[in-house]
Amino acid sequence: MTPRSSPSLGSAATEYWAATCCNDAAAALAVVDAELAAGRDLADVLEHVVTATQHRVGRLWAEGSWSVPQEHAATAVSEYVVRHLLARTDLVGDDRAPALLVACAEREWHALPGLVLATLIAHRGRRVLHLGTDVSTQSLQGALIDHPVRAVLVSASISSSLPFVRRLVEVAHGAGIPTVVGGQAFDVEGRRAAAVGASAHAGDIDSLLAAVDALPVHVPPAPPLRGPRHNEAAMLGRRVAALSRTIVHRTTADDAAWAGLDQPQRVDAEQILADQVPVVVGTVVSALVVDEPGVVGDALGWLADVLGSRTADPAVAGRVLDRLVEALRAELRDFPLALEALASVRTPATTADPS
Amino acid sequence: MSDDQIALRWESRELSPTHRVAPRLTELVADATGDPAGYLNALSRRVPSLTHPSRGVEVFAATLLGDGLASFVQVALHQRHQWFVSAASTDRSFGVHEYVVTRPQSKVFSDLMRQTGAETWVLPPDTPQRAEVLSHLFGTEDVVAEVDALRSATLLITPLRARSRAVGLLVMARPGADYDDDDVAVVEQVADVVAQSLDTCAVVAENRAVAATLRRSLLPEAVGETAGLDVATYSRVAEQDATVGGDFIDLHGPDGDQTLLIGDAMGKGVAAAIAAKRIRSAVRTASLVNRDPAFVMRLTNAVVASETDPSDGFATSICARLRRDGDHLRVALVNAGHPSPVVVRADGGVETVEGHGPALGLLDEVEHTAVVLDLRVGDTLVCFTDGVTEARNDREFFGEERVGQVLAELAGAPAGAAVDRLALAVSDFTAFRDDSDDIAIAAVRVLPA
Repeated sequence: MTPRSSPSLGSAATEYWAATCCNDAAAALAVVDAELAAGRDLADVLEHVVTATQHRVGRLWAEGSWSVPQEHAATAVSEYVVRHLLARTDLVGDDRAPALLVACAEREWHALPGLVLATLIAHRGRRVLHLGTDVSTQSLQGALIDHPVRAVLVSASISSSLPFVRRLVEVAHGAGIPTVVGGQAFDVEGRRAAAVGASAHAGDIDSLLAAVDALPVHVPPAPPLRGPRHNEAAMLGRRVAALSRTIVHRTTADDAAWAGLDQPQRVDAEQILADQVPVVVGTVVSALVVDEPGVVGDALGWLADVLGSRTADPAVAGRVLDRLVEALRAELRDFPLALEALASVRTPATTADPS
Repeated sequence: MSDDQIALRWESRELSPTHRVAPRLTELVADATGDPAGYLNALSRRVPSLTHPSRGVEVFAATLLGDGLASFVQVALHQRHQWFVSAASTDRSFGVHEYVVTRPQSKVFSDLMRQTGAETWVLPPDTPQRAEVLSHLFGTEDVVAEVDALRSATLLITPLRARSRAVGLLVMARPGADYDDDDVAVVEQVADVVAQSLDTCAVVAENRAVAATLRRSLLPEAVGETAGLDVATYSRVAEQDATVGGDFIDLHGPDGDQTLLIGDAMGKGVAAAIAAKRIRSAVRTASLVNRDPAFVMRLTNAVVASETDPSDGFATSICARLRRDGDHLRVALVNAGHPSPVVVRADGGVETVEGHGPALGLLDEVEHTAVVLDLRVGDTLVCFTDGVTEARNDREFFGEERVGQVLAELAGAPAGAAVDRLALAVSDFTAFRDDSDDIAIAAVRVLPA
């Protein structure tokens, strides 16, 4: 979605920001309500006030200005606001009319993108079913039997979710129901969407509704993903947790790489590493599934930025990332195609420091 | 039989021959060897049975149309006093149409379903009867107009039969090319395949509906908005197929004097959920007599002990009475063998609420003593089941210490943030292990009066 400048929403965004910072969900909702009462378009308010605030929260965390709990508390405020807006949309009518089902992939905990999407769809007068975050294949299958569903819309924010998106696509297409995928885990051209077998890809609410209207009533089951790449992805997928722990251990054990950080900074950086390494290993699985090594490079680049700004010493971040990539290569020794994908990855750290 | 239908049958004698312009169905569905079996097998696979019945009829109508068997198709499925109908036409602007069946239409459908095989019906041309016949078969004006516009002289009406009873009705039209006897034989075979799949849809949907009713009765009602309190809950069932588990959360009572209940009945799945439901009911009943948690838990223990064998029927639980007193929340809390709850003070202090009695159902009679807490605005009481503290990775348990660390950073934050953060921390800790236990978390933050 291209952000349009909307200076007239500036004061609302400021008030909303203030409410978010002091964890006052009711005040945040009041800001949104005041804008809606003044005739402002819901989509604009969601984009320029709620989503913009969420991006700012993410940036503050990435820069090291905010702690994870602060980020979570602020996110909870926006989720409260959007949940209320969604609950309020008028969905009376025939509950047998086909609905658009919104689901976040398994292990996706970012509720806000799915909630915003569901709210926008409902606001356009379409029936919507919101299954929430971390949706398992079983719960999607159950929902598809219990409700008439026109299309399944899968939202994914992190690129390590792509294999889990694929599982939901298999379930939906197995029931003959087409899928539309979207979110930051996907590229704008729709290459990854096609690789996971989705019926369509959409980047915003207008292209989404247009895509939905163009979908066939019924799709055949998704052809199975077969071949060495997918075999390796499946094997690696089962070992993400165990490999991640070893990789974190190897990376944090090398004191030389961390030289120059005081104790609190190191604890913070190690925590980020522990949280993010499973995501990085997950992106290796994604890279195999969608045949796109760049997915891993993006994740490593992002991690380098976060470590760089949070440790206030780019040299340390570079060294740590080099150790991380080394450990990743060592632990992926049984996965030749994953190693191949990793070999073509250029991270900011490795390009800046070719030693 | 109604007069309308007698009129309809009378008209059917005036069948006039038409010129064939469409392909014979026997050729359309036959493979290279001239056998329609391949088509029929493929048809049953192309249309999913594990889907909602209204999707089932929609997909079938669209598929038969797409395969060129007709220019117009209407599929109707009858399941437990409910009709699922979908009509589709080759006219792109019409597409697929779903509508609610009217009572007179339902009577016509039921009557036609009693036939054992396909019947060709003649549509009277440009007479009032034509409009009437169409309106009885095709409920909405849109569909009536669509069929009328086809200028079809006849309709082929085939009952959908499965398990030796009629489950629905297939109506097809192909203007300019009536179905001959060979075509009708093919349509009857197609109808059998359609009926089998739709019947499976209906049976699965019916069983799901029964299970969903049970599940709803077992799941805690959503904890809604409560005056002066910011309440958030989380629960995740370990066995996803079961979708119910032994963890329970409940909040009830008048504004300003509420009872919070959280607990964990031994076991997993439906059996545990039934035990949990029984405990919630006992607590609610006892609370009507006396809201003192010591009294409530003494009575609940007696109920659980009298109904179950201690070897397989105990539960851990916390029952807390939350009474408003100005800017304070006075909490009287009884812990029956449950993990200790935590109070997160607005200033960041974290206190573990000590004090345990035996779990529910272990002893026939138990006297509990309530722990009394004083919460102020911004303080949060967090209760959780042992699925949190006993979550494991390959090396160790999540443990109470981690709970304290995670929550300490969330002082003064909304209850939802505390609950989400704790759930996420546990999920990250156990990453990708499949042997997790049920988890329930409840947080109550005191809002200004």
